[in-house]
Order: sequence, then structure tokens, then C-alpha cells
Amino acid sequence: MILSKGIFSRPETGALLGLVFVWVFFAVFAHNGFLSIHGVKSYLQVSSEIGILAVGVALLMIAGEFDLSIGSLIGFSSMSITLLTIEANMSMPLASIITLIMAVFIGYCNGVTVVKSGLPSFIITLGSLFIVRGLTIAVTKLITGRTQIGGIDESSGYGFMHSIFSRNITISGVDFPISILWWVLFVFLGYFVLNQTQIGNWIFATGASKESSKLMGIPIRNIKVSLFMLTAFCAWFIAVIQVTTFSGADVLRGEQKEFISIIAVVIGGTLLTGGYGSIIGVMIGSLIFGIVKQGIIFAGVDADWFQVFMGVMLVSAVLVNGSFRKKYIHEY
Amino acid sequence: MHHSWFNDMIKTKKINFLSIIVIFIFISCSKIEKQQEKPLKKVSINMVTHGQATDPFWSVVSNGAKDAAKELGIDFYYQSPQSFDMITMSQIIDAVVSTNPDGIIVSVPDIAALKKSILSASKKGIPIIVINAGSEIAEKVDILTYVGQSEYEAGVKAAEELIKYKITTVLCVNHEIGNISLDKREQGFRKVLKENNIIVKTIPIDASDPLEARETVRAYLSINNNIDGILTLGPLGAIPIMNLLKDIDHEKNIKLATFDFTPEIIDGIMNSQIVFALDQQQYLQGYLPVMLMNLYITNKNTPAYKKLETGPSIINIKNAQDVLALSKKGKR
Repeated sequence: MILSKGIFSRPETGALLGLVFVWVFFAVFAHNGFLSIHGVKSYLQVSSEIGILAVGVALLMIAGEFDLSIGSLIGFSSMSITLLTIEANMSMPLASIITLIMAVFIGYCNGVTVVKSGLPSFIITLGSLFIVRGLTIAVTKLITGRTQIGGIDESSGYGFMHSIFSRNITISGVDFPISILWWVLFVFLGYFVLNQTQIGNWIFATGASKESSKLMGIPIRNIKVSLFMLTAFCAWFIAVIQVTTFSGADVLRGEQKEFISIIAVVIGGTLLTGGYGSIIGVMIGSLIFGIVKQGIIFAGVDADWFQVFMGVMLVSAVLVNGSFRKKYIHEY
Repeated sequence: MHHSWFNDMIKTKKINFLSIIVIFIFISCSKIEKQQEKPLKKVSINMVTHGQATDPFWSVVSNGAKDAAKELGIDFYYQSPQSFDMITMSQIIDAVVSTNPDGIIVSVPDIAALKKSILSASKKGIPIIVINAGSEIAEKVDILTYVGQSEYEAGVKAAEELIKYKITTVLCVNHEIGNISLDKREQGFRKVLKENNIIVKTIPIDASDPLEARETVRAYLSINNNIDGILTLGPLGAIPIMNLLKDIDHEKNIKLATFDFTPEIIDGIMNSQIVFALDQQQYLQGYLPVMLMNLYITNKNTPAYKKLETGPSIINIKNAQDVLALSKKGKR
């Protein structure tokens, strides 16, 4: 009884059930491809990309804030790296570092604006979503007259960046992208910080109750600003992976990633209102996302149905999580 | 209440590792490849395009392909991302490749982004036909043939045709930023008009929202009185503008022309709201590659032409009546 109460109250339980469900579902309806090692690679690659973003988004959401600008930041970062490398003839590592500084600075501005104004981060970062995307499109067209730029794989330093961010590791004849290992590392670090350190306790406390956290002397402002910088960092990281994998960028990269990462985080059992959540749950949420997205293709169904499936998953996850939590609180 | 969750999170964190173990069991389970025994080997062909779900152009392509597959009695699957998203599209191609189809038909609007996925199909020995966009990929990957129109030349033709209507200042409307085919149409169009000393301006619109697209153009026209010709790079731009011109254009008589068409556009041509549409006969871009691919798979016939041109032809008031009924059926 105590054990079951413990399990059902955990944030990732609903997500785990969801994972079992979607995996079995596609194992039955899409066995051709989905169960092969190529299939595993295919959904792990998609999951890893959203999973890296979701770690940052989850920590920020547990601290009670949103960052809707990360999708635009992916577009900004990938275009900035490409422009600096190809148009300004920099080496790619240097271009990436300069871009990182700019991206994290935008995250810093988001954070400072939110904590100084006291306005909802939803609104502030919705603003930066458009500002950053608009700047990316406008500046790119101004400099090049185009909206997509390729050919970065012939510039200096590309090989080095490629070996770190998008090399392949061959397992029984299938090339697994290294982004999967990066994802595992992000999850591990996120888990460690959130559950094993004082900063983690502070993040939970900040999201659970601002007032009492303040009284306890927790540096709420610094925590929030740092977490906004973290989400910007995650966006930059994904941008580097995409630029090195696809040897170029277009101005629309990363569109809608802000919502998709929030979906992965919420399916993983994190509360939209903050103060409650789990990095392992988020990892499961990202895995569900990848399985559904690629599973639908393996099943030979028109990809139009993906959105329907994802929406249903989101709503059921929230309902299941909510009812578990309610039950737990009543019995306590 | 928050406090009790908070404590619980800290107390039971060890159970988290249980979830990790479960995930790894799942992933390792999936590595067991299942051999499917098929008694009757049917030809199976996959088509992956960048067509947005809302774009009527692509439903004609997919109708053409499905008609061909039905006549041949083969398995056929059509997939595309929901929005213009090259990362998702490359992941769809990867997934399709891992199901080992007999042939892949693919559109390539961004060669840099899709090169890798298409190369992986080629390495596995899967025959490839490119349609609609990206004939240049033939320099990097072996393809059977390309079925589509030369976009630059189509832009040139649009300009030559529009000049006949004695325009002086032209607005070019782009509904799909980041699509290199549309950029090429625009380049060809611009070149001819510049040689004839006609001013060209370009604005981007949001194709997913016709109302917003209409208002963008309305605002633009209200401050640029001298515009007397508009070219839209596709029907998603033309339909809202046709609607707008009904409102505002009694005395100015702006000449509207478009690439590609839908039944509404044909109606517009018959009512003299649109002067002409450039037709690339996209039904053929679905029908022909399925036929050619099937011939290659079953009969080892290889097309001798590198490019099979399906357009452009001009639809104006003289021949609009002929295609209207077919367009309503989704065949033209």
C-alpha cells in the first residue's frame, strides 16, 4: 500500500505508462521498421534533440517560469553560426562561441526582464520569440538576399565541430548520432543538479512558493536568470547539432520547438505551475515524443495524424498525472 | 500541500533509477530484429515531399501518385511534414529508408539539409526519383531522373508574360520563406523585369493564415500606390490577394498573376480577377515518377533524360474553362 502510494505519487509514473502504451502500440502496428535497429536509431535521434531542450525547459518550469523564445533562438543561433562562418570567413568554432555568447545574453535579457518587471515570463518570452525570429529573417535577407544557406561543411573548423556534435557511432552497422550521448549527459547533469544539490532544492522551492523561498533567503532572482540562460544554452546546443548535421541553416529552424519541448516536459509529469517535476520524467516524455513522431511514419500513416496523436497524449498525460496526485493528497 | 510533495521528491528519489532500468529494457528489447516473411512480394514505393498540409498544390501531386499506384496495384505511401521544416523532413526520409522500400520519390527544396538522408537511401541501393524541387542534387547523389519544372526559367516566363500587360511596378509575394525553388522563381522573374526597367519589390506573408496574409498586403499597397502588378509565388498567396483586390481595386486595376493554381484561381481567371497562372502540371509530378519507378523496379527501364519537364504552361482566360472541372476533381 505504502509502496503503491509512493509509486503513483511520483511525477514520472503517468509518463512511464504512456511510454509502455505507445511502444506496444507501434510495436504491433508498425513492426516493419519500428522494431529494427534503424527504427530505434530513428526515434532516439528525434528524442535526443527534443530531450536536450526539454532538460533546460523543465528546470525553468519547475522554478515557475516559461521560455517561449527557444525555438527562435535555435533559428537565430544556426543562422548566426552559418553567417559568421560563411559570410565573415570566421572559423566555425569561433563563430559558434560568439553565437553562444549572443544567445546566452538574449537568455540573460529574458531573465532580467522577467524578474525586474514581475510580469509573466509567458508574455515576455512571447515577445522575444517574435523579436529574435524577425531579426533572424531580416538580417539574413539583408546580408545574403536568401533565406537558406548551405555549404558550411567546406569551411575551416567544420571537421572539429562535426566530430564533437554530430559524428556517428556505428553499432551493428547502424550509425547512431552522438546527440543521443549528449542527451544522456544532459539528463544526468540535470538530474544531479535538481536532486543532489542545494541549487536543485532552491529550484523546487522557487517554483513552489516564491514568498517562503524569499523568507528562507534563497536567491530567487539569480536562480531564475541563470535558468533562462540555461534554456538559451540548450537552444544554442541544438542549433550547433543541426548546423553540423545538415551543413547549413534556414531562417525557420526551430519553429514550434518551444511548444514541443513544453509538451515533452508536461507529459513527463512536471507541473505547469512549477514546484514539482522530474528530469527522468522529462526524459520519458521526450522518448514518447520521438516514438510517436517516427512510429507514425513506420506505420505508413500520413504524418498529418501526428498532431492529433500528440495532442491526445498531452491531454491524457495531464489528466492521469492530475488524478494520481489528487488521490495521493487525499490519502495522505 | 506543496511542502509534502517537496519532501516526497527528496525522500523517494532513488526509485527514479527503476524508471531508467525500464527504459533500457525497452531499448534493448527493440534491438531484436524481426524477419517478416511475405508470401507475396508487392512493389512498395514511398513518396516524401515538403508539401504543407494546407497547400492544395500538393494534394494534386499526391492524387496523381495514388492514381498511378492504384492502376499498377502496388503499395504506395505518401508523407510530408506539417510545416516547411527540413529537419523533420530529413527524419521522415531516414525512417522511410529504414523500412527498405523498393523505391523512394522525394522533393528536395533544401539540398544541404536533405543530402545526407538521400545519400543514405542511395547507399542502401534504393532507387531515387526527385520531383518538383532540387534537380541539382543529381550532382551529388545518383538519381533515376528529375520530374518537375525549371524554376528559374518559369520565373523568366512569368515576367515575359506579365510585361505584356504594361505594368511599371510589381510586387512579388513569397508565401514560403526558406524554399529555394521559390527564391529561384523570384530571381528569374526579377532578372527579366530589371532588364526592362520595371521595379520589383518582394514581401513575405504567413501562408498559414489567409486573413493575416491579406492584411499584410493591404497595408503594403496602401503605402505603395504605384504598384500595378502582383505576382504570387503560389496559390496560398494568390487567394487572399484575389480576395483583397475585390475590396479595393476598382479604379487602379492591379494585374494579379500567380504560379500554380486551384479551382478558386481558375474562377478568378474566368472572372478576370487574375490575368494568368503558370501551370507546372503537378499531377504529372505524382503520376509519372510512380510509373517510372515501377518500370525500373520490375523491368529495369532507366529514363534517358536527366530532367523531365512538366511545365510551365500558361493558363489564361482562353483555356481556363478546359481545366476548371479537372481542377475541381484534384487532377489539375
